[in-house]
Amino acid sequence: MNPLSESSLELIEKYLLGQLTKEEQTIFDQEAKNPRFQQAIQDQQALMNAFKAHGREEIIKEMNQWDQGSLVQTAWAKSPRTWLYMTVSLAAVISLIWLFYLPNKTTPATPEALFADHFSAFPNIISPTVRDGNSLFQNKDVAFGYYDEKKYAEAYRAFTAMPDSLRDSRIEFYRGIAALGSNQTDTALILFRQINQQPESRFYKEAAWYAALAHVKKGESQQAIEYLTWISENLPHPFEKESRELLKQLQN
Amino acid sequence: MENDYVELIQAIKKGEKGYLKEIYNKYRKPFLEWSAASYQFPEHEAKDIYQQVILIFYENIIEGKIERIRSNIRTYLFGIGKMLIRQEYRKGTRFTQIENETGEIIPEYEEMVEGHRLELTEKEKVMKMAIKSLGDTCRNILTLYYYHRFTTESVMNRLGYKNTDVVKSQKVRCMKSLKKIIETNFDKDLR
Repeated sequence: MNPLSESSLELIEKYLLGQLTKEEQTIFDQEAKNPRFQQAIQDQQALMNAFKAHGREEIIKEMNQWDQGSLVQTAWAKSPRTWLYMTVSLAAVISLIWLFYLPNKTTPATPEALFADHFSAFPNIISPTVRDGNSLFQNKDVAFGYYDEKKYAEAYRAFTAMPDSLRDSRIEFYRGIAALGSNQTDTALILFRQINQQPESRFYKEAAWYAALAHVKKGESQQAIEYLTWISENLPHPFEKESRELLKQLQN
Repeated sequence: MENDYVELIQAIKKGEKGYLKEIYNKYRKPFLEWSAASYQFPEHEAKDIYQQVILIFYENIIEGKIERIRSNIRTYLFGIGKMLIRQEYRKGTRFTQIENETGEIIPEYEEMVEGHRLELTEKEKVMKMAIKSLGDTCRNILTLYYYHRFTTESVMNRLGYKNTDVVKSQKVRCMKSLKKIIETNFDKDLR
């Protein structure tokens, strides 16, 4: 018995995925009178059900992993006393070190030191890296994989390698951070400036903070102060506290 | 969120799992608390129900059954949850508190929940085992196509292939592999 043609099988697939055009629907309706075609529909439907069951298992596995992440936070939240005692102890130790061992605290920090004190990469909330055998990797996932591992040069290259159509302002924000983390400060500044001019962008406000940091790194205090001042005029801001602190240090 | 969540739905449809994860994490605790307070569901059972809720939500999106949500996401998810909980009660394993409710049965939620049920035939179970036997590349490609409803172009972008022709050839090869696994290892089970 001759198997159905590729085009017939494709038609069945499109039918089951709800993707038939009007013309294809007409052809499909005609072919559906054929018992072999009808059998092929049933076989393909069975396969789709099997994929559905498999796909559901994969998603449930991922949701359980998300729960693991949440449980870690909850554990901290459930033990505020422990957290408090640890914080107080740490603060005491740091105070002692500061009083007795640090050099004169009025020595101005270098741009590099100031930058290092304040820079930390914005958490990846766009494309969390799923570390299991069923991960469906894409260019974006590769880039964020490097990003999560703090391999900023590799992350920057991977973000840059993404097609332009996929590089929206959120991706450009992370690309900017990767650039900043890999000493491509001028490139980072261009990206953050652009994003900070797009109020509709998800990271419109955050971009101002990182632009300030980029200027700090370049030793351009005045430009950094301008961005920090903008932040103070556009509250609430996710980096409000850090921005106030940095502004104080730059103005001293 | 703006525009009846149209953007969010489109993003999830394109495979941006980050959004689904945000939603999952955001409503998990409220859902568990609500199901415990309203229906005395222990956490582990409520968690299973919640994951089914998110699955239904996700599948409605990828199958094009919803393009916007006019209420809010919480109302939508909890509506589905309520229907799933009703199902649990109908199974008879729990006392009928829910039947004493004078509350409404919302037909669209009920339809959603009924349509979500999937009981595999023996043949389909065997096919599912064959899918698991595939190599990672083939399993991923075919799952993207047949479960996540990705277009060829989306698969190309997701998996980093050069062009859509390469994806199509790979898909054909993978389907042949799958059919061979079914024929070689499982056909005797299907007769």
